[in-house]
Amino acid sequence: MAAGFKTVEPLEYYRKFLKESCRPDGRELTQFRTTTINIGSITTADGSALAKLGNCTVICGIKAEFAAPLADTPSKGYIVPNVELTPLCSSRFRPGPPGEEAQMASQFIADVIDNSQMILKEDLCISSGKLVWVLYCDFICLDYDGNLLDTCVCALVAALRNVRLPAVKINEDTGLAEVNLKTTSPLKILKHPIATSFAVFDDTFLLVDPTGEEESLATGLLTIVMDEDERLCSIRKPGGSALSPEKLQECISRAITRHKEVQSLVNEVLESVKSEK
Amino acid sequence: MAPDSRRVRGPEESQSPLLYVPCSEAVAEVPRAVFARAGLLSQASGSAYLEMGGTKVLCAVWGPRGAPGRCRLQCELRWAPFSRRGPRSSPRQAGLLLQESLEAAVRLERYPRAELAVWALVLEERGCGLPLAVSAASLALADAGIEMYDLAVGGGLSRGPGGQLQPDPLDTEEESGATVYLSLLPALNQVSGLVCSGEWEGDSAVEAIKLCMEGCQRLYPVLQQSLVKATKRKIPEPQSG
Repeated sequence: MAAGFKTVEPLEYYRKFLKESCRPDGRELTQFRTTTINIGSITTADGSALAKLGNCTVICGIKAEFAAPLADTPSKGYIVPNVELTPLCSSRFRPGPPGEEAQMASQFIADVIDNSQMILKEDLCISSGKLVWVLYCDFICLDYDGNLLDTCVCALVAALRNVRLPAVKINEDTGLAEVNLKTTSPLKILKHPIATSFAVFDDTFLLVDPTGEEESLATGLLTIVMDEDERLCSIRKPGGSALSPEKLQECISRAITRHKEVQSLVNEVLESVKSEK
Repeated sequence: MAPDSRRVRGPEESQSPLLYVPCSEAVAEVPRAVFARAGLLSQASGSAYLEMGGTKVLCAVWGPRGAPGRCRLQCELRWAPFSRRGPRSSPRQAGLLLQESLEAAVRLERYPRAELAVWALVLEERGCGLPLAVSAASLALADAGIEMYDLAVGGGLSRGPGGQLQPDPLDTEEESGATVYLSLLPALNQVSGLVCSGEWEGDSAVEAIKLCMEGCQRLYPVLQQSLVKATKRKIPEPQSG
């Protein structure tokens, strides 16, 4: 009976739950789905992490390569994020070049990296004007179930903390690079931005961490990125319902508590990976 | 070439640091440990994850969904950009090999005017990505409830420079010598796909195919077990009282 009602009138079905301040999957409005992080599972990458919010799964693999810097920024390295939404994760996506949603997500991640200044691009310099690191951060969505951005940012922060770069010396005589794989060093990560997404329902209800179904029914979406100093790195609000300043402030304080939750989870996972070795 | 505005731009070209490191030889443990799990993705009709000694493959199946004409099996196999050590690899035309190996196993005539889509992704390549993708794809098809004659099980083998045969080779061994990839329908004892590359002579090729088939037969019960487990998870517990 309930299943039939849900297919015919999905919005009414949701309203019945929201009136009681809960959701069909049993969560409260301000509750995230179970977050799972797995760090370092891909050994062919220089750093990797798998992040899961409920069913939504994103794997992030980072490869470091050498490149020549741009002439106007001779001591700056590159960070190149790329989000792939393949037909593997949902039947909505087609093979071929990245679609609109994938482009939006890639650009969002690039903006978060730039705005938060989590990594100084000057730190990726090996030899000014000659050789710099380029970090290719590839995100592949394995299972698409809403809240892609939060999952991607989680995976990014966890994967970057897993990166180990080999020591590089420039040979004075030949001018060529000499790589020593035995001595590796982690990246210098200054800030840890974490995203928190909301769906607005009927212009009034705010649902944190929307599922795919909730995203498609919502009248508005909002993503807030915070760092550990409670500073805003980015806000994304693509049209939809208007939000009052009080509501926005409410969202921001939820994002602050979410940051603490994720940060301690990442630290915990990193500790357990270390102790295994 | 005009820059692609759909992607975040990086440098024009870059090199892997591994190009500047002397090569180290690695030897595969035989047999390599296998992990199989079916039915783990929430959105796809059927899915499977297979891992063999570091090589990791994920596969999703969509369908059957309506399409004109006879039933088609649409396959795509890709390698993740971070799946290999060394230079970033671009995906190869491996979907066709996957399709040819699977077509013999699926009862396509049962699905007129329909389409089955198979998407496989190699997350980490430590040798034998293609045969493992064949096994993962048939496991995902079975998990989606598609009618099949048998599971297509993939196996690989390489021939080293000294002529020794190495089942389930590592990626370094695959590059250095001749290789055979084979897909077998174990219950019917039929070979549904065979790819040979490199130099093979006389009896060694026959011997290699035999060894490959034995390897497939050993993998078969593992896949069957994971299917039984996935099916059990799907059926709700009988309610007492």
